[in-house]
Order: sequence, then structure tokens, then C-alpha cells
Amino acid sequence: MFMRILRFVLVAGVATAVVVLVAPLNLLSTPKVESKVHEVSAKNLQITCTGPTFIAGGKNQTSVSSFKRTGIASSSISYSAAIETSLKGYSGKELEGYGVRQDIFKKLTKFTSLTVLDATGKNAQGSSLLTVNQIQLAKNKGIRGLLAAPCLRPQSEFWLIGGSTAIGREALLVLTNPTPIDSTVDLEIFTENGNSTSAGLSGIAVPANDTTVVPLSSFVLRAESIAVHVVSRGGSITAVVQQKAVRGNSAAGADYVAPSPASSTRAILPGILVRGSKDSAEFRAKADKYSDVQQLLRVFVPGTKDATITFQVLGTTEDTFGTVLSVTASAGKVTDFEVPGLADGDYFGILDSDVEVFSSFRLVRSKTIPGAFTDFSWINAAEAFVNPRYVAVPKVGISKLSVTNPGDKPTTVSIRIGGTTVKRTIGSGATEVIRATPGLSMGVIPEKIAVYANLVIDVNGRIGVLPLLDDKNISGKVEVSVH
Amino acid sequence: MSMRVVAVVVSNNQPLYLQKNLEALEKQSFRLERTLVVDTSSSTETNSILDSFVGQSSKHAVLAIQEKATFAELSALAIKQVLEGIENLDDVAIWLVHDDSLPEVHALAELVRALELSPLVAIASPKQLGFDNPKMIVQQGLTVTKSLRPFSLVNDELDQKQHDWMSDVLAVTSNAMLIRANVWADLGGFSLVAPELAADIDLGIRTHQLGLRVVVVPTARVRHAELSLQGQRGKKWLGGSVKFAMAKATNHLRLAHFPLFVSFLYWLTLPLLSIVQIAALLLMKRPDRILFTLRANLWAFFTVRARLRDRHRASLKALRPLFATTTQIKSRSRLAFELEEQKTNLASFQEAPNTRSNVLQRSFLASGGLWVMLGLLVLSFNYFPLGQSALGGFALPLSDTWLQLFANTGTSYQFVGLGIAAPSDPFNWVLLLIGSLTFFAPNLALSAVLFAAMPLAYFGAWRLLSTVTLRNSVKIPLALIYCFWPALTISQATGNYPAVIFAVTLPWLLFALARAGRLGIASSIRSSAQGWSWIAASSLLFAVAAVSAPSALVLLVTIAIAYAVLSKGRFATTAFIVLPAAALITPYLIYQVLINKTPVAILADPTISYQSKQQSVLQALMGQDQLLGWAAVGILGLATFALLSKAKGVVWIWLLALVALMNLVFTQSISFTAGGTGSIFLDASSAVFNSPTPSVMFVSILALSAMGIWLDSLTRVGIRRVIVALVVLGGVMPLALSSMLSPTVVSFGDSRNLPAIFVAESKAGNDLRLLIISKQGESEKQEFRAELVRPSGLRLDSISTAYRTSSQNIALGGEGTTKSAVSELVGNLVSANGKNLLPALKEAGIGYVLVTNNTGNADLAVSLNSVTELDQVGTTEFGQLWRVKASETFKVQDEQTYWSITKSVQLGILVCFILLALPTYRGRKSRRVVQELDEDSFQIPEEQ
Repeated sequence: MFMRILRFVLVAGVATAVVVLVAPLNLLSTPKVESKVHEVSAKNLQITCTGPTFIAGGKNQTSVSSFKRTGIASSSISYSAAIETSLKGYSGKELEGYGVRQDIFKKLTKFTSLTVLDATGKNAQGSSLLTVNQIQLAKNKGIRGLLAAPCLRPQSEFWLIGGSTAIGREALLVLTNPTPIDSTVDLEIFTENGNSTSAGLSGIAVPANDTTVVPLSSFVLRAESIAVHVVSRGGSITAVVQQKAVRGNSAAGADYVAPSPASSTRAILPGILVRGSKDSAEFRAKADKYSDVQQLLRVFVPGTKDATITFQVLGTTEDTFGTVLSVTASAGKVTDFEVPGLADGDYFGILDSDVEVFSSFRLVRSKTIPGAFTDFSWINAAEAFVNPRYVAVPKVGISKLSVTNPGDKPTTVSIRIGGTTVKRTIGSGATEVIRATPGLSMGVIPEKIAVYANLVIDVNGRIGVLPLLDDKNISGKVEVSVH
Repeated sequence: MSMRVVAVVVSNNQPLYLQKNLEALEKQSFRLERTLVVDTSSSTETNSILDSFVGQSSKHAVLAIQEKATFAELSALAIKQVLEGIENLDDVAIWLVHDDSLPEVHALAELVRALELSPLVAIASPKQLGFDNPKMIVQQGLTVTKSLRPFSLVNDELDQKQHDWMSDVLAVTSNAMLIRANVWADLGGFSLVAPELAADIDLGIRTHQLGLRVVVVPTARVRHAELSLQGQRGKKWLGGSVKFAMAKATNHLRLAHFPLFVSFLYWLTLPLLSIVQIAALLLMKRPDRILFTLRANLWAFFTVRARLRDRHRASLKALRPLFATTTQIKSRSRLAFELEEQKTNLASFQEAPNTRSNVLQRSFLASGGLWVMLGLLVLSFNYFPLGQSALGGFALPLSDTWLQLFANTGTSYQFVGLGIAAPSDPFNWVLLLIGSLTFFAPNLALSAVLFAAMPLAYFGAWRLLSTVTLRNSVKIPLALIYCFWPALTISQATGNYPAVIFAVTLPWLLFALARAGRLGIASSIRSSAQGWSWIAASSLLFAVAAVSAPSALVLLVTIAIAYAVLSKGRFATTAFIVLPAAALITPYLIYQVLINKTPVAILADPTISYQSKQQSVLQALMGQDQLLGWAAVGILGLATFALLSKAKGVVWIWLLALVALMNLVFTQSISFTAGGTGSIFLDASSAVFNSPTPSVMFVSILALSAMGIWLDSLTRVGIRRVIVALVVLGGVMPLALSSMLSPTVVSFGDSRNLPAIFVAESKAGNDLRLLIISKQGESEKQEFRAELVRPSGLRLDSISTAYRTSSQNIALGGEGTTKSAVSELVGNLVSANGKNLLPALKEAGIGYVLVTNNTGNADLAVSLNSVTELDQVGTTEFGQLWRVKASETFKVQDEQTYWSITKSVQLGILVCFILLALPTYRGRKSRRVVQELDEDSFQIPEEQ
């Protein structure tokens, strides 16, 4: 019996020790597949601006089958003018680069593409080579407000988080195909009720070198909250949603909803510069038609699992106090969360979610007297960057660059304005708001730590927010592993 | 006129027998005229006997001959010598006697009487009795079967005078044969070209052809030791072993006595016939006869001229009545089988452990096994093959045609990726075997594997447990636990075919080994044929397990060693069991060790590099459902209590389980190359780990076996019932629930896993390749992965672990290589920089480019839209597809061969083992025949 107990103790002891204590090591391995690095030249960088706003056609601007452009948009171009490059599309002839950054402005009456022709194909692309945006202060009776949008590199897939087709609200999807190849677009439209299954979402034709305007109300009528997924086949396209609000008989507020970055569990939204909060509150109190004059967080959960979200709105100075939302957003649906109680001041938002989500923030500006107006702008989650990024600054209005460091360490960023470089230290979890010089592009040069930035434009109190994009084609060092 | 007889004794190194033989000759009641001993011995003892013999009488003489002379030559020389000086041979007879025989006193007299009674009798032969046991008839006349195989009319039968009616026969043995001297002279003696065992029959046939008779004289009795046939003489005497001599004799008789055309045809088809004979011998479970049959056929094939020299014009038709009848042949076969069965039973009885007679042994069906299996099939409803093939997770479809599947198996040049000269995965043989079950749609059988996995695992575990316990109350819950074990159900859910096949095979392998080694209770073998079947089945199952789970190779080798030790040193049998596995693995092993110089790659799972994490032992045992997975750990804990029992073997089983646990730790400590072919649609990772399933299932089956032994040995019924209830409630139920809750990754559908247009063109004979590109790594990095897919597509049988771990896949290709060119092509494609890519596309034979749907590929699609050499085809379920313009002018030739030498050898070995493993019903059939014969023999003929 003693021997049996002994063998039980020994074997069971060893087995338990192996099960509980022994962890696998990294003893042996077979080699990993090596990637070959190729120096490849890039395709010429092309940036396309949507052009002036669209209003419904027809005599009374009520036709939903035809749209026409109205007004003139102003594009701001920041071109590095690198040697052996030239800018095409600015005027009739190419603008040769001679090594000094150029800020150029161009009036747009239709969609316009600007292309940097690179004879060597070796110049680094991105916003440091070319960045373009457009603004338009619409004053038409059918559309009023500041519409600002980045000009985009044509792509095949976009997510647009913003817009509404509720009563008095109009959302037009503007699809531009600057390529010589016809494109066919498929849409997925999500609202507060989930995915739309309307007919006609697939196979929308966008002819080569043309623009197609699609009223989202034809698919999702009276939807308060909209998110659009655009996928193109054939030629690459650009896509924005032109959103406007008509309150009673008069238009009051408009903006472009620009493409959002990929979904993520953390989103940083710099540039929540709240002004006229009391006026907005006054408007809201006055009539229902102003009920949406309110700061708002929009979230779309693309997966199948509901998102538990914490959204912090943090002030950029000691005098501004933000707010925190702890909410749940349903999977597959677009959910809006009002962000009340924000007094005038500069803020930025940090969204944390347990699942990947798309998010955007609607910033409103109002003024009751004199010259009462209300306007809004959709702020997308900003992209993180550690490499320098440039943004063209319009000649008009007041532009402020909001740079956020959400990390747990302070960092220093160099801001290049024209030939001048200034350094700003941004504390951990803090934002620096830097006033831009009208007409002079700004370069943001981080120091190793990733930062996030948006440019807020204020033209006569009307608001527009532009992201700092870094459009580039695949080039330079490309690693390829062939199996 | 009275007969005169001269005796010739052929002696070869048997002094003891010779002494007695010569004494017996002296005592013969019929006086011998002369006696000549022709001796090939070299021993002094024989010489002294012969000296003494010669000294006894002037009628005695000795002729010493060199040993290398054949029996025919010796007898010819001796007879010539003994007849010298005798002028009239008409009344002379020659008595040819072997030195290992002992004629009774009246033997010669009886034989002479037979010759004197009938002038037509040319040869008379006595009844040949056992030397040590004269009550046994060892031989009494020879004949042939219809196919001219030598046949002894009486063989090892108790002498009850039942054959004393015999007279005329086709031939007789040369021992103690009395032949008329003039007939001998006419015939020219024994044929000098015939093999020893054919010479007697040949002489008999030729005697008959002279119109004379050959008779046996039962009253003449000679004891005969049959040293040659017993293999107690040197092999030179018969020109090889007895079986070889017999096979040679058969071939000689056929070539010499068949009609000329048939004879020629026989010679011509001997190579083919050899294959048929091998197959037949394997089916008859007589692999021991294969070698000499082949040798005899080769001998006959290359010495055909000598055989033809023995041909005579006369036909054998007239002699047919003297041939062996079918009844005689069947009866002999049955007797031989029964004798063998008796010997095996006796051996089994001596070796088998005691069985308990107080427990009723029930068959699988009687214990409701079929119903349990049906229930398990219902629980596996998720895996019902609604489509032709399973997709998702590890699962890839097989090639659509059996021929392609065959071509991909055992090949030595693989058309995967950039192509590689290396053996394909040995696991492909298992896939070929499964695919062959539904050869018209190979995927169907493979899909059914997932569906049938749990029932088959249960059945196997039940059979294995039946070698340790007879109690169904123990076997059923323990077998259920095995089939619900989390490692198996997870592998099933993720479509990990090798792991599932291993888990199903393992209990069957251990069961077959137990049967082959006569281990465990209720494990008896009724015949050597059955024994061979189990050994061959063990070999095949061992091969399946080894190629399905290379990570368990160490464990399998340990099991093989344990088997050899437990089955009392059957090392040769163990080597035989390991042979098919070795045949399948060796080429792959040589490649990995000597050519690829990555020995550790031998242990890599033969699947696509599906993303997998390193797992601790606890995680591997519990599976993904952490809560219910504890039940598995609990069962293992309970099984350790088996060590407290008195039952034998438990400690060894647990020590093997510990080895399996250590193997699990070891194999989880090895990371393998990710990538290779077939995994580009999966999330990229830099390294993958083996599935822990093989080691875990090893631990589980051993632990459950130990528990079975323990529960069986418990004398208190109450305690056993409590433990069984605990096993059911704490093991079977939670694990069953866990298996049902496991999310199923695989789905069933069409076997197509590439864009339809590419597949359609491939089927139409287009050899153009598909380049699949996907972005990988961080979004900031410009890192891309590309895979070149051949027209045969991404198929499980075309996945190559050798390719995955080879320098062809891993290393950067040098300048000018295809790999380098494709890599540069991809760089230019993704950057869409306007370079002329047509030459590179043409060189690589790329007809289509596919960008997968993986995250981060949107920019890639934009780039490809700008490439002027590509036309966008559209979006497919696998990603966006482009067609290369002008690709119809590309010429690509991938001519895959179906055969290689290695493959032929591997296939040959497998076929042999399959034939050997197939159960045959020889015993049952023979028994029935004999029964019918016996019944017939007792029928009283109706009176006319």
C-alpha cells in the first residue's frame, strides 16, 4: 500500500507540476519569411477638390433629380514645389517647382484635380508635397453657412460619418470621379435604425471625369443620424456628404462631411472650439427647428457587438471645463449623443470604446443678434501622425490649429509657418491651439510621439473644421514577401 | 523369372541415420544383389561407417562424390555404377534409398512382389512413415494439381490403414522407390535440369507416358525422416529453402509440361503473375511466402531454356485422373488451416492474461454502441456536409479530381508557389486515402470526416477500453469523455483535419497494437492470418497517426518501443509496424534534414499556417471554454487515483501520459514559419505553433485507459458506481455541453476558394497563374505579401510544409530569380508608378491579380486601378480582381507528373499493407466446405 501511495504522490505531483507550473519556452524556431525591400517610384500625387456646393435644381430649387452648382469655392493649396516636380491643374500651364514652398489659392467653379508631376518619382509624397482644401461661404437662399472640406486623393472606399435627412435637413452625397475610367459605386447607409435596405444602393454610375450627386433622402428618408460607406469599382473617386439645414423658410447652417479614418477603439477629436454657446441655447429654447443647435457626438458601431463608450470632452486651458459621457451604442446602428453644458472655450475630445467604432463630432456656432445665424461643422476623428504634416490655411477668416497629445508624456511639436518655425510643448493629454496666419500654410512636425490635429476655420462666425491629411501614393521603400 | 534387386543408398552427412539405414537393408527379407552407397559426406564418422559397411560383404560398395552434385546426378552415377557388369536388365530392379530412411524388414519384398505381379508396374513405392512416429504416414504417393503444383496425396496423417486401398499414382518420392532397371535406362533417370522436388514427379509422368504404371504398395513400409523437407539438410541439397524448392518445382512442371502455347504464355506473364501472386499471398496473410515466390518466378523466367529442355511431346490429358481432385485440395487446405489454428490458439492461451468469467462480455452493438454513435452524429449536426467541402479555419478543399489529388501525393516536384523540388507532405497519403473513398468527388469524404469524427473517436475509444475492462458501465462514459475532449472538438470546429484524424486514429491504433501484441483482456487471435491482419492494421494506423501529427512522433516512437517490450520482444514485428510510416516520412525527413537543413521542421503540422498562439499545458487541456474545460482537468485528476489501485500497468500508462505532457510542453516551445501557400487570406502573423491536440489526446486516452483499469479492478460495486456517476456528471455532461457551445469556424459549401473566372479558366486548360497581394503589418508601413497561385488552386493537398519552411519561401531570391522578379513586380504594381510591367507579368505567367479583402487593402486597389497593364474584372467574394491584358499570349507549361520512383515504392508498400490488413474469410469458408464434405461422406447411396 505504501508503494502505491508513493507512486500516486510522485506521478500525480509531477503531472500537476507540469500542468500548473511548466510554461512553454521559445526553444526552437524555423526561420521567418524574409521581405525584400524595393525602392519604388510612386504614381503622381493627385488631389481632387469637390468644387462649389450643390443645390437642388429646377425653378424653385425643389427638384431632387437634378442638382446644380452654386457659388464659387476657394481652394487653398500648399505645394512644396520640390525640384524636378511641377503642379498641374492650377492653371493652364504647369507650375514648375523651384524648391520653395508655395501657398496658392484658386477659385473653383467645378471639381478640380491638382497633380504633382514628379519626373524622378522619388520625391516623398504626402501633405508635405501637396495639400489642398476648399472652403465656401454659401449665402444662397437655399444654403447658408461655411462649407469646408479637404481635397482628397481619389480612392475606392470611404466612410462618411455625419449628415441627416430629417425634416429641413438635406444630405447630398457628392461622388467625383477624376479618372478617365468610369466608376460604379455601391453604398451602405446606416442610420439610427440600422442598415438601410433600400433599392438602388448598388451600381451607382459615376462617369469618368464627372460628378454624381446622390440625395441620401432617396434611400433613408427622415433619418436623424447617418453614416455612409462608399465602395467604388473601376475608376477611383472622392466622396463627401454636403449637409445643410433649412430652419423654417431659411437655410441656416451647412458643411461637408469629409471621409473618416478607419474605425478604432480610441478616437481623438481636436478642434472643438465652442463659441456662442449661450446664443445656441437661446436658439434651442426659441423653437423646435433649432433643436439640433447643439454639440453632438455621433457614433457608428460597425460590428455585431454593442459598444460601451466613454467620451471625454476636455478643456485646453485651466479655465475651460469639459464633460464626460459614458454611453452604450448599439451595434450596426448610428447613435447620436448630445454633449450639453459646454461653455465657450477650446476643447478636444477623447473617445474610448470597447469595440471599434467610427465617430464624429458636430460643432455648432450661433449668434442671435445682430445678423443672427447658426452654423455647424462635422469634426472627424483625427489621424495620428509622427511625420510632418502640412495644412493649407485659407486667406480669409480666422484659422486655428488644434494639436492634441493624448499620450501620457509631454511632447514638443515644431510649427512651421512660412519660413518661421516655432516650438510648442504639449503636455500629456493636452491640446495646444495655435492661431494660423491667413494664407500661410502650417507644418506640424512632431518629435517621435504621435499627435493629432485639426484646423478650425472661422469666417464671419461661421465654422468649418479641416483634418490634417497626408495623402500619398505607395512609394519609396516597399517591403514585399513572396510566398 | 525372379527379380534381382540392386540397392543404391544416397548418403549426405547423416552418419546416425546412415548406420541404421544400412543395418535395415541388411535385415531385408528379400536379398539384395548389390548395395552401393553413393556418398557426398566429408565427415570421418560417415567414412568409418562406410568402411565397415564395405568390409562386411563383397556385394557392398561405396562411391564417393563431390558434395556439389545434385540428387539426380548422384543417383544417375550410382545406378550406372551399380548396374555395371549386369548384362540383362529385364529382371533387375533398382531400389533407390535415402540415407534418412529406415525400411521395415519386408518392405523390399512387398515392392518386388508388386513388380512381379504386374509387368506394367515400372515403379513401386512404399508407404512413407514418420521416422520417430511410425504411426504417422508422412507421404504415400505424389501427384499434381490441375495447375501442376506438386501435391502429396497423404501428408502427416495417422495410419489407420485408410489409404491402404491406394495403388496407382502419378508419381512417388524417390526414397525407397523400386524401379525396373530397363525402365530407368529408357527414361534416362531423373531429369538433370528439374529442381529436386520436381524430379520425382517428372520421372513419374515420363513413366506413365511410356504406358507403364507407378504404384504405391501400402504393405511396404519405410520410415522416413524427410530431412530435406524438414529443412534439416543443408540448403544446397534442395537448392534453397523447402518453400523455394517447392515454388521452383511448380514453375518447372508448368513450363515443362503445360502445352507449349500455355507454357510460353505462362513464362511471358510471369512478372505480372508475380504481382497477382503477391496480392493473393497478402490477402491470404502469407507474407512469409512472398520472397521465395518472387525468387522462384525470377529463377523460372531467366532459366526458361533449361525448363524447355525437359519438355516432351506427349500430352498430360491421359493422366488427368491421377491428378489431385478439388476435394482433396480443399480438404488438405482445411486440415493445414486447422492445424495452424490449433497452434495459434495454444499460443494465445498460454500468453493471454486471465479473463474474468463473472463479467458478461458484450459486443459493441449489443452494448448499444450504434445508438450512442447515432446520438453523437446528431450532436455533430453542425458538421453535416451540406456542401461539397468545408471551408474556413484550417480547412481547405481537396483537389476537385482524384487524379489531381493523386498527382499531388508523394510527388517529388511540387507546383506550389514558386515551385519546389521536395517531397509533398506525407499527410497527403491520408488525404488520398480519404479522397479515394468518394473518388468521384474527393472533397465529399473529407467533409464527412468532421461529421463522423466524434462517433468514430467514440467507437475507437470503446474498443480500446474493451482491452482493459469488460464493463460497459465503465467503457461507455470513458469513451464519451474521449470523444467530447475539448482538444478534439476545437480541432473539429476549426477544420483542423490532421488533428481530428489523429484524434480519431489514436484509440484505434492502440487497440490494434493491443490485438497484434495479444495485450489486454479479451484479446485473443484465432489464427496467424488474423494476427497478420492486426499487425498490418497497426502499421497503417501508425502511419496515419505519424503523418497526421508529426508533433507526436516522439510519442509514437515511445509507444512502439513500449509495444516491443510489452509484447515480449517482438522487435521484428515492431519494425514491420513502423515500416509504412517510415516509408512515407523518410523522403520528407531526408529533405528537411539534409537538403533544407531544418530538422525541427519535421515536427511542423501539415496544415496551412493558421494563426495560433503558444499554449500552456493548462490552456491546452481546457480548450477555449475555460469554465467547462475544467471538467477535462478534473477527469485527469480523478484518473491519477488509478495509481492507488493494485491493477497492473497503471503506472506505466501514467508514465507514458507524463511523457505526452512533456511532449506538449516541448512542441509548444517551437515556433514555425508562417506563410507559405494557402494562408494569404488569413490574418498575417510571423510565426505559428503546432496544434496541442495530438499530445493532449494522447494524455487523455492514456489517462482514461488507466481509469478504466482502476474502475474495473474495484471490488466494491458501490464505490465504482459512485465514481462512474461522478465521471458522468462532472465529465461527460460538461464536456458534451462544451463541445456543443464551441463556435464553429468551418462552413460547408462549394469547393471553390478562388475567383470563379480564374477557376473556370484553369479548368478550361489555362495554365496562367493568379497573383494574390495583401497588405500586412502596421498601417504606417508599406509591407505587402504576395502569393503566386497555380491553376490547381489553393487546395489542402497542394499545401506544402516543405515549401513553407524551405529557403525557396523564406530567403530572398537572388537577382534574376523568379522570386526576385515577382517581388519587384509586386513593388511596381502596388506603387502603380507607370513602369512597363508586361514583361515581368509574362515571365511569371500571371494572368490575374487579386487584392484580398483584408483591412488596409483599399489603397492597393486604387493603385492597381491605375496600372495600365491590368483590366479590372470586379469585386469577388475573395477580393478585387484584375485581369492582365494580353495574357492570352502568355505561355506557361506546368506539366505535373503522376509517378516517381519514391512514390511507386511508397504506394507499393501501402498497397501491400492494405491487402495484408484486409480481413479474409478463408477459415470460415474452409470450415464450411469440410462440413459439407463430411456430410456427403455419411450419405448412404440410394439403392437402385
